[in-house]
Amino acid sequence: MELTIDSVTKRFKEKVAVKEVSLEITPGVWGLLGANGAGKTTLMRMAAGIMKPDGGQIRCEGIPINVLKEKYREIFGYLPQEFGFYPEFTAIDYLEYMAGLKGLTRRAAKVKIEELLERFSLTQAAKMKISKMSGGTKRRVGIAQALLNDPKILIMDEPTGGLDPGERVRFRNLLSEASRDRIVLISTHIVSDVEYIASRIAVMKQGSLIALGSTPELVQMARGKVYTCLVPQDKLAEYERKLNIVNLRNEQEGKVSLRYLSQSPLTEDSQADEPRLEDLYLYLFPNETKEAE
Amino acid sequence: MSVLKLEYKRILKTRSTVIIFAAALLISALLAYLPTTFAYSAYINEAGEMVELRGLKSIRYEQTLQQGISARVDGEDFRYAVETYQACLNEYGLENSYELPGEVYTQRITPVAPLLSGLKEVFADPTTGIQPTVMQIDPSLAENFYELSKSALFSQAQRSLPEAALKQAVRLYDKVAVPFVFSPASNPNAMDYQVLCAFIVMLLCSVVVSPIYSSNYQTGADDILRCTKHGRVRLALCSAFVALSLSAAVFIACTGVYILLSNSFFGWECVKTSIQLMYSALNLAALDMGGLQLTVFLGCLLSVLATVSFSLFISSKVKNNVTSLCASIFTCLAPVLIYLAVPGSFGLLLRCLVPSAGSCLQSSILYALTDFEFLTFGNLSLWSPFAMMIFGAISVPLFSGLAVWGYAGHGSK
Repeated sequence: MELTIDSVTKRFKEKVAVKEVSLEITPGVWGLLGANGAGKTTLMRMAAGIMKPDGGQIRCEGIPINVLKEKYREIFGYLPQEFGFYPEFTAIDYLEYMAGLKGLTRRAAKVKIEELLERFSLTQAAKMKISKMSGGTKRRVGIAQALLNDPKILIMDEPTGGLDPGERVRFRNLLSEASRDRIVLISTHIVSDVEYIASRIAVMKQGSLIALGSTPELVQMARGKVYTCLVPQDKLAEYERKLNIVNLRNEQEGKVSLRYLSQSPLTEDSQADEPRLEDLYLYLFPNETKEAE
Repeated sequence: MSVLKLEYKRILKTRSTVIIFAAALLISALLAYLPTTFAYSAYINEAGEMVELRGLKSIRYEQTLQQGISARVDGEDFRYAVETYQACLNEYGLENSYELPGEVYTQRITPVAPLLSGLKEVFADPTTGIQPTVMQIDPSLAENFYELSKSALFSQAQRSLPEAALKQAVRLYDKVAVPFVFSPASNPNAMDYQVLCAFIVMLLCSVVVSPIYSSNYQTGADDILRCTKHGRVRLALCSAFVALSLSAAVFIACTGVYILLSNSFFGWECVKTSIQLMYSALNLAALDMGGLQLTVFLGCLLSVLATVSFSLFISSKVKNNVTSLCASIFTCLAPVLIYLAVPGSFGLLLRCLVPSAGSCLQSSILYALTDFEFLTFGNLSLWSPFAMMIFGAISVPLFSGLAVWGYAGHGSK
């Protein structure tokens, strides 16, 4: 199974949302990292076939998805960033409805729905109206619908929004398990969602693909750019202005430990530190620190 | 699993849909009863007291009064009607029947009243169309009612229609069965309320149908749906079919309840009355009241389905429910607005073209059937009820198809 994104471009009036992005996506978990407005959702919508590229092509096993049509959608699962549902539907109603649209038989749907309700801890909420569910529970219903047809290609846009830490960990593990023989593409700006489970990570900025590789490969890009230092508490404001701080922690004796990004050490006692994927993200998106986890 | 079945379940699971459809049924029953409340009769009983009757009691009383002209109405009946009227007014020294005491009118004029307005039309001045009073009609000539009615029709057509339409009007009138048939207590008000019932059902169906596609766009549900195997053309087709079939079912149920109750209130014999005795003697439709009920039913059904199809089309094109709902309601009201704002043959053409034409109050198929309006295109002419039916029949597949195409192709740019 291979999903090829070939020089895909999408414009909205004057704005280029996605600019000649090319990716050869193979089975495994793929992370699509980028700040808000980087073009991730637009790229995913094009891969889902619900938006037409202005340039380039998206192919599945070498055949354009707009030629495959129903055959592509049969092996496809999608969870958009924001998704609507019918307010009168319970989780079971919704999953049955989606199973029907995905072409499952009644028997297969019943078995699959039971399995997914169990797996996503939705058994107790199965007969609850979706409109009355919490954000996290709704999200789990959304994830469950995406998996109903055992898709060979699963695309999820910000899937962990609203999930609590436990659910997020379970979700990551589930994806890891499920990705053995399928393509899983997750778009996120939450680095930890993909840091440990993604076999490949693509980073998008302003519509373009600016980095691609495994987590260790990408982390190398930040090597030599992460430093730690101790500074007096009363001078913290001054350092905050000067440094691109990733993390700070209060220490004893009125000191604060800083972890910051820079091309070179900016204080005398700074020490180089091991980079993490989050450091790379913040290095690539210095203005998005507030959005990163 | 059948997408069609799931779509039925989805739509019928919406509480507001069920409430609206139940309300439509209830309103139909109320509307069927409403015209009976207008019936009023008064008479002096044996003890010399005035007795006033209203509602169903009045209808039953009128039925007994009109037994005399029950069944086929021949020339002799028309002569008798004129003589009775003239004798009564002469006796009281009056010129107009409305000056008569109520109980006298009820007992002496009501039994022949259904025949009088037709007489005035038939004896209208051929050049000006000005109708005489019943007092001015020669009773001996009234016997020739059916012969005179054909020449009156020709005169009226000559005054108001172009050549092509005139010929068609004459052809249509030739098909009207004579002598006319009358059943006591027949009442054209009930037909107006049948149209009102159809109009309300059309409005309610439009409210239910208008968000079918647009709500998917508005909530974002559409993003997931169209990524599924059957989430495009098949879903769009099933949604359209469900909307049309439910609307048809609700319309049939509501109008069925209406006709059943109305005919029970007024008496099932009423369906045999020629519409020429209820509306105009020169009416072009060769129908009795039962035939008119059925024709109006079919015309309204077609227009409800055409309006629903158009609402679906709008719904497939706009991204929010409010716009879709407003456009649907506007479509329902459009014929009346055109009727008020656009006069002449262009206005008539527009009214016939609008999908909701058949069910829209003054512009409905009932008014078209009882009117004398023709669409003319050079040497061709088309009676407006036929035009409404033809455009309605075209609108259903046209707008449903466009709706399916619009939904299936939505967002593919």
